[in-house]
Amino acid sequence: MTSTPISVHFAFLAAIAAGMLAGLLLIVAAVLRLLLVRRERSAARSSARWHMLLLEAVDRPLRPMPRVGRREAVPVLILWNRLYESVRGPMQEKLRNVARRTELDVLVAGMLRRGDRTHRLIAVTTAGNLGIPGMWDQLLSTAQSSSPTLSASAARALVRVDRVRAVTVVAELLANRADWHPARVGPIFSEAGPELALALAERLPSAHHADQVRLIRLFETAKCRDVLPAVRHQLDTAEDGDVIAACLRVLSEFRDPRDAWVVRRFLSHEASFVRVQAAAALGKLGVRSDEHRLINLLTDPEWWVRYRAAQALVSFPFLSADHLRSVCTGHHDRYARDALRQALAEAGAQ
Amino acid sequence: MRRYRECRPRPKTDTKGDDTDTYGPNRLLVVEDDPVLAGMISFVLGREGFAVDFAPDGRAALSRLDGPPPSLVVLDIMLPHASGHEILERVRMTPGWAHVPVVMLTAKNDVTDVTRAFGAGADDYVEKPFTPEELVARIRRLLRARV
Repeated sequence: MTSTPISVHFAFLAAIAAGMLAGLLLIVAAVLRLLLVRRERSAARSSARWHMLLLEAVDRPLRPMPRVGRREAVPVLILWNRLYESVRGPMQEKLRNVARRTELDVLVAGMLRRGDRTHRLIAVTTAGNLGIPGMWDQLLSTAQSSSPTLSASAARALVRVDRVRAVTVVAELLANRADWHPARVGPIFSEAGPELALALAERLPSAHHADQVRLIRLFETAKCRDVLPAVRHQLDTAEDGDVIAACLRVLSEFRDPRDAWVVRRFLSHEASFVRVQAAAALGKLGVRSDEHRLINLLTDPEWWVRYRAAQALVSFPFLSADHLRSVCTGHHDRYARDALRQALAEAGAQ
Repeated sequence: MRRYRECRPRPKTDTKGDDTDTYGPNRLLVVEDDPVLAGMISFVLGREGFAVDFAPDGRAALSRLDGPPPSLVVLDIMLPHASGHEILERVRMTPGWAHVPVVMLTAKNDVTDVTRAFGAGADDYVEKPFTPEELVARIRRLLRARV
């Protein structure tokens, strides 16, 4: 009788262990999947039940409302917020009234205190839509949290709760939060009104260089013309190329023809990225006499400057495609011809 | 398989049986893919006595063109499978549907969508988020004009 080598035993045991492990993982995955499906179905049921309840309650202000169960809280709050944000006018006030009768505000306060990040995000959004002044401190504390999404949402909620009071607080937050995405900052500006952009503009002269650039870029998101005097002043005194480029972007965004002469000053700036912005801005603000300035820029050593100058020329409504084609063929510089030809082709005018 | 949810909450006018063809002048087709918004529109219009048929996406809306026309269509622009603009063009080319009033639901401040919708034959539009009273008023105005 021959004895089996120990390595075979070991391989056999390893195979059994691996099989058991794989089986266990399969069971865990199946259980997790089942739990997820159950949770989704439960949420869908809650959502369907509360959808009708909330809508019917809008028309029956005296009708008693059931309490929202702990497990129903998230789907109900998501549903309420979606309903609230789908409508305007008196319906919004009616939905706020329904929320108070359903004690959603109590639910939200609890979630803000104890919830995980997702729950707090839902709570913050609801608190903003409910506009309850009593939640100010909780929202302020959330707005100072490290999570960019949560803090930006809380800042927006502060604006919704009390627009006037929020201006100073949110301006301070905006000045210090480089991690807020412009997509989240835009709605804050549009709901806060021009006061918020002006509060930021006041901070501009005393801000550090890096913050200055960021603040100026925020003005593009703010879409508020009231900041233009502050930007022009900054451009007058700025020496740093990044600040100048940011200011030029803002000026081109608002397309005030009075700014064309300021922009022209920077067409010959030593930094190529400033010349790029100046050319792009002149494309939006320029007049007929700017044609030769931009044609001169077509011979710039930097490709991006030539390209933006060519795009600016093509964007002028008073220059015909035929005229630009003749400029292109008559130009002595091969790179200038290339840039203009490309811009014309992109505009479908080659 | 049911392709449309028929939502008729508390209609004030006569609603006989389950056949949508019997609803008379107040039968509306709402093409909207967001179930929350669809439910809201159904509730608001049902409260005002309209019978509402829903198409939850562009494909369902297009297949609806084989049937009898409703009194009016409320049409979202951003839809799965076929956009509101495509559906509108097909509506205007379909016999029996060509003169059905169409109210478009557009995103706020989207001038391009509004211009394109009017160019394709839309009768009116309502911006989202909308005021329910405004939607009802616009629908009533178009239905009155049709009579």
